[in-house]
Amino acid sequence: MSGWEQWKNGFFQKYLHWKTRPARLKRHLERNTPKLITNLDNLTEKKEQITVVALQLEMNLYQDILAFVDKMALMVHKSTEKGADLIVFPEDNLLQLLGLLPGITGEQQGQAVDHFLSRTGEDLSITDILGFIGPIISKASLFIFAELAKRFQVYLMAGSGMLPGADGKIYNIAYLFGPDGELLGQQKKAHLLPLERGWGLASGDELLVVSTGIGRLAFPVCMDATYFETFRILANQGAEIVMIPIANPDAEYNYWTALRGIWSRVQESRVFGIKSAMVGELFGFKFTGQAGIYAPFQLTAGSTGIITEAATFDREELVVAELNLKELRELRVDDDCNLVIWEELFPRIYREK
Amino acid sequence: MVVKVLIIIPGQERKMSDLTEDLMGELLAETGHHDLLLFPVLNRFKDIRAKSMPEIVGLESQITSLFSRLARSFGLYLSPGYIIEKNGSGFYRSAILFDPAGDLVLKQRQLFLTGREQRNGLLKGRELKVLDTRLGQIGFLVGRDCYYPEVARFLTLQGVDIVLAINEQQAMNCWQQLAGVWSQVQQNQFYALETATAGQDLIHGPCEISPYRTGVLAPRGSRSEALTLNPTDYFQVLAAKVKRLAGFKLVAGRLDQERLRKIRTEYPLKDYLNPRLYEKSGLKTLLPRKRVGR
Repeated sequence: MSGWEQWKNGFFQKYLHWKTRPARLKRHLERNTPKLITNLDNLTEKKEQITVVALQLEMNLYQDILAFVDKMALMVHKSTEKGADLIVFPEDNLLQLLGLLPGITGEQQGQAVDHFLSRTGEDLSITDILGFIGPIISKASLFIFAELAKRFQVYLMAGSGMLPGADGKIYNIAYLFGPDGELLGQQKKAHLLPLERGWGLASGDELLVVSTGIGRLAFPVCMDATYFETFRILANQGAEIVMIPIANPDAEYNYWTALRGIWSRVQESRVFGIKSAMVGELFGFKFTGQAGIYAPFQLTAGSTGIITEAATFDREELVVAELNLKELRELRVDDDCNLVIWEELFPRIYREK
Repeated sequence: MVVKVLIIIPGQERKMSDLTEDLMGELLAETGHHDLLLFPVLNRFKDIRAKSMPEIVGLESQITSLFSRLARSFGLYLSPGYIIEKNGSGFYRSAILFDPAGDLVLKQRQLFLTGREQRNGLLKGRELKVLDTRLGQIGFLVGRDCYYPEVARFLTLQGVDIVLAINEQQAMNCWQQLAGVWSQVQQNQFYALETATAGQDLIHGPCEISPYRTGVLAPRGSRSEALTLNPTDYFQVLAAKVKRLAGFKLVAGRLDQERLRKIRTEYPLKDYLNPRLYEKSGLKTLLPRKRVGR
């Protein structure tokens, strides 16, 4: 990279840091977010009956970070009006801030990734772009969602973004915040899409369960729900509610293909499941998906395993349900274990795949 | 290669005593040539299902010799589902497969049991096998194994292409059935022939290569039915479309191995497993565990 390019990149980064500085975001939130909701229960009590909201959110590229803040605050406000203790944003929610990149306009939202990269005039890869803007998105997102969680006193799963980890590699990372604004954990996507691997993303190798006042929470990302191992590990680590943020680039929505992720895993592992979904378009990908809230058969009407689902697959919606943790904890299941088979095959068989 | 497969299921009016070589021969002659046939015996004839395991044990040799002869006569791979094998004071539920020469080439004992099954003296198998044939690699899911995802995963990691599943779940609805073999097919990308005691007998494939992306190859509904009806109603439509012949139900399908290979190449789910994560998490976190008032 030439000296001029280094200076230019450094300049843009400083500019973006300045545009997204916490003091500016906080001032905006104080002026524009609705009156603080007092939901002190979430700070002090352990609840067994909770209200959860899964968001089905329309993708947008935000050139103005304050517009992003307003949108996120609006969704949190609407959710808390429904009594939410826990609000779940979708996968790639934080990628909406790619609009902060110099030269990105709303028109490019429907254009292919290659076209977007070619417009930069440089020989850049997706990971180069994410490496450049990622730290800014991370810093701003961590501040925005911590503030929103604190202001509305709710648990917030902020969704995910393709962002740099501490090792400099790019991961698809989701964040969870407590009602005091504390970052309770971050979860790296452990099972990637071929597309993501092609872009150079790295996969995480840990699954996190967080003990909170509203149960033990986990939040793996999208494709992680395609593999039973994810939910088995989380359930054995004590997870009671598993959130799955998705952004499914499947232009032709199909109920059957949508059913084979979190719904199947909830039945295998007997946890509550919350699916948040991104809809709309970004860089030539059309995202469809139905947000929904799921439970083991025994805890649902008609033994469907479904508590509620969004009415659409391509529009913005809030999906709300009450979860009774006591019922889940009291669920009695006649499960078996065949240690001989596992000891014979694990981990050799996974290594030999 | 396209593998022609068939499931034959006895209707309510049929009894085990009807299962003669002549009748089977007539049925097979009527249905045309198939490469692979699943004809479940012990879990589908009503008069047999009512018997206890010790009472059933004597049927083992009768079933094996009959199906061996039929496989040889009709030159196909043929499974009668499972037989009951006595072992000391206990029993194994063992699914078996005969090759076109009439040889018993694959035996798979049920690996996971319900509490009731254990109290009734059933024992767990200790091996999981896959058979390499000219039709592709074949394996079994027996009874509760249909609902333990590690069994299908381990079959997949051993290269299975076609799974014969004998689902014994009682009093299930369509959703509970979808949580079994259908879910295993989707997360592992193989074909499966499922005979379900209390549900639908189905031939499954990955959604991407099945009609209307339902994951069900046969029986087959229409596009509008698949896309507009909920699974409960769609399953009722499928039930009405099952063919019947001489008091037996028939579900036939064609398994295109090339299409399976293509979807596995385009979307290689197996390659995106994360062994590092599983090893780091440890064997204990991957075992199913009793959930009693946890």
